[in-house]
Amino acid sequence: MATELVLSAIALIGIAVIVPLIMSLAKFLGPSAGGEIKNDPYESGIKRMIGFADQKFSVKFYLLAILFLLFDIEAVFMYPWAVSIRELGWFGFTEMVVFMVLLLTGLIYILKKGVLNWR
Amino acid sequence: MTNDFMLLMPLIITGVGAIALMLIAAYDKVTIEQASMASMGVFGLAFLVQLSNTIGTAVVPYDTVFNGMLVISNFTKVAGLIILACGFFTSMSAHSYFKQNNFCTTEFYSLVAFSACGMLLLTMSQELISVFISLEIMSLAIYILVGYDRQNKRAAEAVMKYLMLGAFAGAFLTMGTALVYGGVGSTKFALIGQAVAANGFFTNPALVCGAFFILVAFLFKVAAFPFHAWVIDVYDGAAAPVTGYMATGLKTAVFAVFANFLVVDETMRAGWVNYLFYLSILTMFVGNLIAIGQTSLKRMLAASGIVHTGYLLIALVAVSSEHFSGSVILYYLGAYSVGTLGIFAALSYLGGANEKRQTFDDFKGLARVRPYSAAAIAIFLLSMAGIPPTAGFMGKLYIITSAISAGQVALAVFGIISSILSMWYYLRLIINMYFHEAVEGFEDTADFKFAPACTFILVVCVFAISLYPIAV
Repeated sequence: MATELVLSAIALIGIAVIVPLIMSLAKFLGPSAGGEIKNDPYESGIKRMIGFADQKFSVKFYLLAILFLLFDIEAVFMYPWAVSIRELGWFGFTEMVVFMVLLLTGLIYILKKGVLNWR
Repeated sequence: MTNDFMLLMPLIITGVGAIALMLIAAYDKVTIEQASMASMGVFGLAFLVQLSNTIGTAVVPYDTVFNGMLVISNFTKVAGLIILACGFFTSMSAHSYFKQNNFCTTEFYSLVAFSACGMLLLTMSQELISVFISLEIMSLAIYILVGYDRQNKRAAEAVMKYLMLGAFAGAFLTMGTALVYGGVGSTKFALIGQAVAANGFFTNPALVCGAFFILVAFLFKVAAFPFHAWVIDVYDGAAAPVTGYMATGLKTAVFAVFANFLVVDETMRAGWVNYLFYLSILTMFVGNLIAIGQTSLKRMLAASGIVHTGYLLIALVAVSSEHFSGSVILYYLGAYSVGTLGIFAALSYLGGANEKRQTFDDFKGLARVRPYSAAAIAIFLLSMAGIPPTAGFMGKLYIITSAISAGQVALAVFGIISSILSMWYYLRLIINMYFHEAVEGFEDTADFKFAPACTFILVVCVFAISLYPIAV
């Protein structure tokens, strides 16, 4: 108990010292190039943040985000399955394999269609 | 367990077929014609399996699948048959359509199969979450199909309107589901029915509000009166085979789940029937008024689709909860689907490149040049108008009979009046085809095989269905 308290206190002090130290070092040691483009607010694919909204913007980021969401959901579904894998047995295993094969076919489709090529 | 999978086999076949078509599209090895054949094969196989299920397992008329998430009954089986037939004929007529309009890719057929999957699931859903999921599977595929011609501004307008309003209706459905779950504590239709029977319907404000929201979503999807405005532009902007598919398969699926939801409980149904009474009358007459004013054929057919929704609402008012068989609704859906699919199959090859023939006047004198096509269109129109001895007449007869036997005589009278009014715009096309000299030769419509074959089969179906007797 006591050793754990000591360890966590050391960790806390370490964080309190090291993080500000690194951040201030980065400020002194790192190159600092300003500029108009660098100081612009960043939004994936949208070039002008201020002004009219009817501009064309790249759909690449959107595609990537929606694919990330898809496979993220796949991972989320796997957690409860992993917890109860013994109770579900082979039935649960087959169900999960079917689910993953379905998503895999989707992955093959988007790969063949070149959605992941960053053009 | 094995029985579950056997009953779901048509759904599995369409699902696997859709994924296979998607992968084929990714590898880009087959032509569009071959993809259309493959899609017809998938639908044909699923149809035969469903047919063997329907005839073979008549001893088990009602069965729950996957712990009551889905229910299989004779009602859902026959609705599935109609949907699979719609998918088959859509693939068939699309084969000819895309010889004149070149915006097709192989994914088109995959999407048709995916939406058929959603429709089949929707007919079997007996639980609000399944209803939402299957409705979304169906709608998302249909949205893409509507806007498939990306260079066409009218298709873009159609898909924009449909997507926005459809998403709104989907939001209503989810909100209604949440409220019903809050009021009853379950999303299963059977348990909702038990709760209503035990505690009453109007005593539970969350349930009343939730059921109202769900009805709004269903009324939107079937294009009933206050939510009918999107239909005209969307049907007009979509490609002819897609319009036919939307008008038939989608309507069959949503009416199936609508009927399943309404017969949950007698008190609940009685609560809504009063409103459905006025809604069906308004739907019929608003649809007729819109249809009379149209000059474009597809817009007229869209408006007449609203009128047919009105007739189906009469059937919904007239169903009784104690011995619900849904045979009248399914019969009418089958008869209406055959007529509508037939006309859109004919439009698929008669429309010409980029659907250049759109108005009534464009089809003047068709009977002089293409007598068989004109005869087929005339038969479909007469079936939709309800002239004996076609399927449409028998469907209307059963609906009016069931309305009278349910004590809704006023509704039956309004149905007959609306049917007479609808002659105006159906006969107008027949007059244009038969009593005018041909202004052009329709030469570009000569060498197609699939869509004309499709119209021929459907003409046979119009008479075959009218000979099939049902018990009202």
